[in-house]
Amino acid sequence: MGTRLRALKIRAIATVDSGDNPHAKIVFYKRKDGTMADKTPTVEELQKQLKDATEKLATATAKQAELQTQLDGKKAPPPDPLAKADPVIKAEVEALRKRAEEAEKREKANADAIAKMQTDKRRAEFVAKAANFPSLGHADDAGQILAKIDGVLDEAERTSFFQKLQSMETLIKKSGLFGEMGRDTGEAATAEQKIDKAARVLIQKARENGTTLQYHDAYSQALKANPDLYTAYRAEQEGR
Amino acid sequence: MPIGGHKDFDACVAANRGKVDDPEGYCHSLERKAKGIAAIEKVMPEERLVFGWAYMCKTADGQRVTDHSGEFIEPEDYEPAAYEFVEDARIANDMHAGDVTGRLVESMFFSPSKCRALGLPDDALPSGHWVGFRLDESSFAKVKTGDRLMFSIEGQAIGTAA
Repeated sequence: MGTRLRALKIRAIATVDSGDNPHAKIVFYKRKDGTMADKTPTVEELQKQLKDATEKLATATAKQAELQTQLDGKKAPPPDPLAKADPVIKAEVEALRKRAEEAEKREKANADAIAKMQTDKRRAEFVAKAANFPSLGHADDAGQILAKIDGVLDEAERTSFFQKLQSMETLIKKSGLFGEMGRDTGEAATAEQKIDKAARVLIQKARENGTTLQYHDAYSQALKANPDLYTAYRAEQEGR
Repeated sequence: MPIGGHKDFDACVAANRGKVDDPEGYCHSLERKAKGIAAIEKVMPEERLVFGWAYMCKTADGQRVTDHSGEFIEPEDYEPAAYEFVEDARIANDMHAGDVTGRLVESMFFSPSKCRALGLPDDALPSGHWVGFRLDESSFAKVKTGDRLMFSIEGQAIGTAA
């Protein structure tokens, strides 16, 4: 199929860079010295050029791959051994590979769960330990800090640290440094001590419930809940 | 002094500029002839000759050649046009535009019957129009540099679906 041209009249013939007729090529030209210069290489020459170019390309590609491997610091991935395997064997190997991947995923999930449990357990241990040091503040916060500190200490440093912490806690209790905020001296003898003790009980309950209660709020609540203690407290104050 | 039908040397050069490769040399030659001096110098300008297929209708093995545009010309339609081109036109241009850039120096429409007449096998050559042109310097330079690799016919025809 196509269009047949008839009744042709040629006005001129142009030299062009790319013609419509695929074979209308300038075959050669003649120069000053009379030599002929071929414009169109022979098929053999083109085949040789193609062969040479293909070889150069293959060499350059291999060199590029080698350089890339050096850059990546990796060796080229080995060829897939299953590429030419029997389809049945290939399917079985693929199934095994899939099962192995799933098992690997489960193993990782279990490992993550165990790690989380260990983290939670460690956190609970240190929260409980922090409860023995009220001067450090809220046990949850203090527990996390103690866990971090514990993580960077060796055994001797750990023993020394907690011994010193315990000594400081004892010293603070005896010093009455926080007496204004409520000092627990054991048995509550005065109304003030009883109110203080009641306030501390409220703070402890709040902690157990996972909330925070400031001492002055607890003290106020203790007074409201025990008006007789307040009366006694006033009497003590007036009697001083 | 009149030279070659021109009133003087300058008029001769002006009249032949673009028509001959070396108008000064050409007019000197005419002047020498006019003066009775033998033209002994041998002018050797660049040949600037290019040869090739202006159009190929069929390959040597008889396969029809269809243009990129989907058009084709049967040898029996092209052959008379090739002869008319020699009779009436004989010119080349560059990229189908501008002035004349070359003059026809050779033209032959090859066909199996002409191959036979030349003592060649019928399939020795394609069926097509072989041409040679002498180009001007600018156009010849483009051929040498590879900017112009092909010929392309220019004219008119009637297209019919085939």
